[in-house]
Amino acid sequence: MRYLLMLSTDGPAPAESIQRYTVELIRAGVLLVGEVLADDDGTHVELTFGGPRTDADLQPLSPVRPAAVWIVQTSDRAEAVEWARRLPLGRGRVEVRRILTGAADT
Amino acid sequence: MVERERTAADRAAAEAVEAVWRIESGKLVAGLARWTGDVGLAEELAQDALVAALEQWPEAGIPRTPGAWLTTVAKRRAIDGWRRRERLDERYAALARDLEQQDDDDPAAVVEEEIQDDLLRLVFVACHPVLAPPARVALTLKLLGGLTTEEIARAFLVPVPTIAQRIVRAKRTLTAAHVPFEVPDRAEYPERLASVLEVVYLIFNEGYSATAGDDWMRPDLCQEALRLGRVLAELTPREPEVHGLVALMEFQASRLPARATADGEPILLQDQDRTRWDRILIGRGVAALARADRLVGSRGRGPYALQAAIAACHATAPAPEDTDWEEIVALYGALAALQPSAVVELNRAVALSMAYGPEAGLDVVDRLVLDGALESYHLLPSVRADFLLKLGRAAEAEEEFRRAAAMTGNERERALLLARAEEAARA
Repeated sequence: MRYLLMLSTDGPAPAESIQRYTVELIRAGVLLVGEVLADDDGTHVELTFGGPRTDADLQPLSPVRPAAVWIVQTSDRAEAVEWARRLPLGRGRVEVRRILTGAADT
Repeated sequence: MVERERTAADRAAAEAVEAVWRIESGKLVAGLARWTGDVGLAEELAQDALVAALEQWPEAGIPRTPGAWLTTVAKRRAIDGWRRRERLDERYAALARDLEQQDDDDPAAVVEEEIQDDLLRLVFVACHPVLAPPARVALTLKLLGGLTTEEIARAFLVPVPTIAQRIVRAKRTLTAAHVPFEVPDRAEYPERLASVLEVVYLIFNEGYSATAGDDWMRPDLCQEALRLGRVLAELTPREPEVHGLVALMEFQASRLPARATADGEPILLQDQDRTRWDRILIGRGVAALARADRLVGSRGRGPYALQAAIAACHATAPAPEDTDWEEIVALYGALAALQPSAVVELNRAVALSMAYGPEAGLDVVDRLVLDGALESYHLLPSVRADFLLKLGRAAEAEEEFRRAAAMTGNERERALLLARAEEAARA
């Protein structure tokens, strides 16, 4: 089963810890994707659907915002959660979401 | 109401412990194997630690460094056990002193690199050629995959006691043969590594093209093999065929979502919906093949890398008509030079016909027939029939389709071939 781990923090993610963590995932053979999100100049582009027009607006980043994402291949959610638990951070929040794939049980 | 909640919480706690086990067990067994010099004993000690974890973690919570906790518990229990049985000879006395001197505040004193070294030793021992392939497979899945005996039995559609016995005997064989807990020396290394790759690919193929049972595909096994292969790639980063095998498995696994209809009917590669191919895995396959090529160059490719390169041709073609068949012909030629086999020749014939026309393919197939190769392999007459039909030799094609239909044990396959025979008859 495939899971998305999304880390949100109130600042840039500590690069070295993130890097070491990602290497652990690679060595365990479970990492499919691992990326750090750029803070750029503290803004992001936001589009909202549903109104008469869909504008793309430059917005400031929320105080707590996505900082990094990983996609892991695990036997079940418990394993993905255990991997999330191992993030070497003192602060932050991780969302664990299952990814729908085309194949059964993969 | 309270009863039901407790059970659900218990199950969640047990699942969490099992998840830690899957992540840690290989490293745990490897470290204990180096400590005791005995893989079988290491596995028993690890199981003891798991029992302790299942007892204590649901209440106390999962420790900060579960691997260190498990290692410490396993070692303490080993020492206690030896003390009680009064088997405290010099060697165990030394281990006991070692353990007592260890800094309690830093149980994770084992360096990351040492863990990697131990894992590699365990891989080579579990895949030792003194064991028959089924034993190597079972032992690898148990010790490195962290699978239970039941899970292994289910995966291979074999009774649980059979697997249990297989594992017990394998451990005994390793002890009796005095297999050291070491990485093989330079002279033996290539053969021993080949044995490891064979085990991993065996596991993958059991899941990818299983011959027995209702589910001809078992994706869990493919994922397990892929994980083992990826772990191995990090343990032996300078081995090109390891990356070659990983690349091959990534490409093949990328097609899993497209290989069967909703009813479980197989779909041929050229007919698969390519939008269902897994692009993440295709990307990983390309990267793994590139790693292999950076090490030995594309001319130095071994059999796994060559097969991966062939798979890459298909994986990177947006539609069947975009396939670089000439490249595939060249790759099969290189593969035939390294590992000549009738099956490779047959595949080369198909590629030749796609690149240069059915006459080119027929030449190769006719030679195979003359050699008496693949006498009971229904794909030979089936492929030959296909070429004959394309050349307008319909009567001969019909005969070959019927011959192929008679040779296959698979009902669906037979029906398909007979249908093609009828088509040829009408042509």
